[in-house]
Amino acid sequence: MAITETRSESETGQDDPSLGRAPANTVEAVIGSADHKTIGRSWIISGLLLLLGSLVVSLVAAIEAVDLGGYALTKDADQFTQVWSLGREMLIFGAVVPLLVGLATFLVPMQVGAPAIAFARGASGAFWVWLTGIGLTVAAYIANGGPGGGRTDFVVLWVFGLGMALIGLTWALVTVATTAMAARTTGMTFDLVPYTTWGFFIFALVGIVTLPVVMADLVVAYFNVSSGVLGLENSQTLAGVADSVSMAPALFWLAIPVVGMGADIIGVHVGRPLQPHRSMLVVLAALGVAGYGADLVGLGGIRHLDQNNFFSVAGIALASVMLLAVLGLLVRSVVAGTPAVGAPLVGSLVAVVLFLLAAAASLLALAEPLAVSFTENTALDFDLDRLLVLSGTTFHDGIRGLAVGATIVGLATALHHWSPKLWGRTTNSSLTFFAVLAGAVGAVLWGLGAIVAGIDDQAAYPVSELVGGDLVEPMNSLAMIGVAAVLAAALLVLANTIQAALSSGSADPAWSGGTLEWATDTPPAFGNFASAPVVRSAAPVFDQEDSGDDEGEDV
Amino acid sequence: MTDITPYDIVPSEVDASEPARPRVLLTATILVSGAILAGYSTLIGHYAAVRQAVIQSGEVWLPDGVVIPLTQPNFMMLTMVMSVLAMLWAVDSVRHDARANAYMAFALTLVFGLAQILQTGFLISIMEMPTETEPAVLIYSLIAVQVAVMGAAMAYVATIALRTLGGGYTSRDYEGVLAASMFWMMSVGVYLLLWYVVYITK
Repeated sequence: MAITETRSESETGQDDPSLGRAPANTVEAVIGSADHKTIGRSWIISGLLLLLGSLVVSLVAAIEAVDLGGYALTKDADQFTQVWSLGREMLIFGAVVPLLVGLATFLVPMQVGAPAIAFARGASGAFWVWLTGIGLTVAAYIANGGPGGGRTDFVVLWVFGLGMALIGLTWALVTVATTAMAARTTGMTFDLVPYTTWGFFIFALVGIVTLPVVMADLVVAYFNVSSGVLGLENSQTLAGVADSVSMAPALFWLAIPVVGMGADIIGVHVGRPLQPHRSMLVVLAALGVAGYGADLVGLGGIRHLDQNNFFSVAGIALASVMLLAVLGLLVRSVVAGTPAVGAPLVGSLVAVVLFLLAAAASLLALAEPLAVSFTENTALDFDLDRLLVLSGTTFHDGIRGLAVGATIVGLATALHHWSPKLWGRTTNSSLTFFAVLAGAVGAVLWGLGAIVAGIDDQAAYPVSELVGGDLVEPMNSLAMIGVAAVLAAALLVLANTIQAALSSGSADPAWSGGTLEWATDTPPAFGNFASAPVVRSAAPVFDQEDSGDDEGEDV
Repeated sequence: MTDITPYDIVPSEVDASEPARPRVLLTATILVSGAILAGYSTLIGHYAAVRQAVIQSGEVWLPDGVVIPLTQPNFMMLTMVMSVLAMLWAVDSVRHDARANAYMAFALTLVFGLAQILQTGFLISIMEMPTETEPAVLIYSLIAVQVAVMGAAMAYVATIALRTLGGGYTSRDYEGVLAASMFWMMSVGVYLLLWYVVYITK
């Protein structure tokens, strides 16, 4: 059977010869494996290491921003641009999105009852393509390339590196979406898929049409730089390519899987699955619609910060309403159940609250362009001189800080919740709790600092000199403390994960849920299930326990 | 002589059929096609926005002396239409196990694809557009991506053709051929965008 073919129902299971054999040693397990669990763990470990690296770089940029123009840590404005741009790109394309892709690669096949991910070797290839692309991108920056770079060859290398990383991410998302669509086990209709899988499915679909927008921008950047139309003295403008996924409403793309995972996690820790199931699925899908904004805000600064259009306004408004609905559903579930208060429950709720804060700030940013639009196009007449002008300020960096912080909190929670399946043992709850706390506090300080500095007229990065009112310097200090706190959170998550990953043996999980990954061994065996499960509800494991059927395949 | 009668072969009550075979390759092809169209539409939108801004400012869009002829783009469009017919012929042939026809149709599709790429090369050579201008950057970006997509589609069709040659796809299972044809249609769609937005409206 070719790797592009699909096994029939009867062929699934651990004895299926088409799944290949289990790897013989650790090196083979990591480099040559097409097991979705190994690939998922590779994404997660690499993502965590790059999260740490990207936050260190972001912290350097944040320290520099406290006294911008002083260049205490960087040489000049161009180097500051490079550091800031590297931090932002690595945070999103090197850490946050890859971590989500890693969890999706690990969890989705198990949750849909499949023995493997679709295009298993393709999924493995996607990881290595992404990792190579990230390596080239970092190398290009080190060699004085990238936005703000001074050497044409290495600016071009940055284009190729980042493009390669994006191709890897897109292909990984294709394998995840294909698994969710075409590899579901018998009985698992779309209205019965777990929230996590549904969230990752929507995340993948939106990502598949979002990341190519950035790639298109990179193609234009390549021709601009190589033909000399864009001189190196203006290479700072290339930083705009990451805007497509760094600004609202596109930023809410990151909220979709975090909310999906949070809904499943809360269901486990309050003792009953979150209800009503279909309502939550609809809310997640609506969040996906709202989260598609790449074409609205990106493209190399051409439409930079242009939120004066219907789709941006509608996207941000819809995302805000949907996040409010999510919070309502989560709180309702907590109140109706018997909550076990701990890091997973608190972390899931905090992540949604942080996203809601980001949405509220985004709404505030719409006031000025909307007022201008109404004044120009209707009989309404706003006093434009009294409006807050937030376009082109660090206000939008604050929204990004909140959203990225929320995602990191959500990831810390998810990595703890599924740690028994990921590493064979539960990670330390106290460390996770402190990571959630540090991440939440950091996200708020990071967001608040940049938002208030933006209100006080600090120009959006990259800038060569500090402008704005008296509040700018203290607010930049606040943002710097926030980045440092998020860095501390990432450090705690990494330490917790490494400790669990390096521990030998396995232990029974401290909790269990109703979705199919909890029906697998701890850690899951090669092929996931002894035989293909049959599903009749959204919580098939609970159905099995209720019926007292311990041996049947009908879960 | 066997004792089996038609009544034994076709029982009056049959069990429910197995669930439909998951179409993994077709699903992934649709998703990848969507990704490519999203990226290309972005480039087209970017081109249209920049061009409109330049024209509205009272300037001329194409650099002095640059002419984009219509003959080559129109013949390329015709080539693409014929390639679609050839691809559909390939699908129909595999569906009916007409293997000789299928190979002919696959080969013809690939020849049309190659012809389109070669005609693009010729068109670029006669346009003589200086590279260091903004219109050139955008037009070459659009052409380069279109040629890359066509190359990928040719590689996909060639792979599926080889697998069909090896007996991998027959009338019982022709999902791969269907998927390749879908990707080919998408690549033709990409050329259609380029043809109208750049070559026709310039």
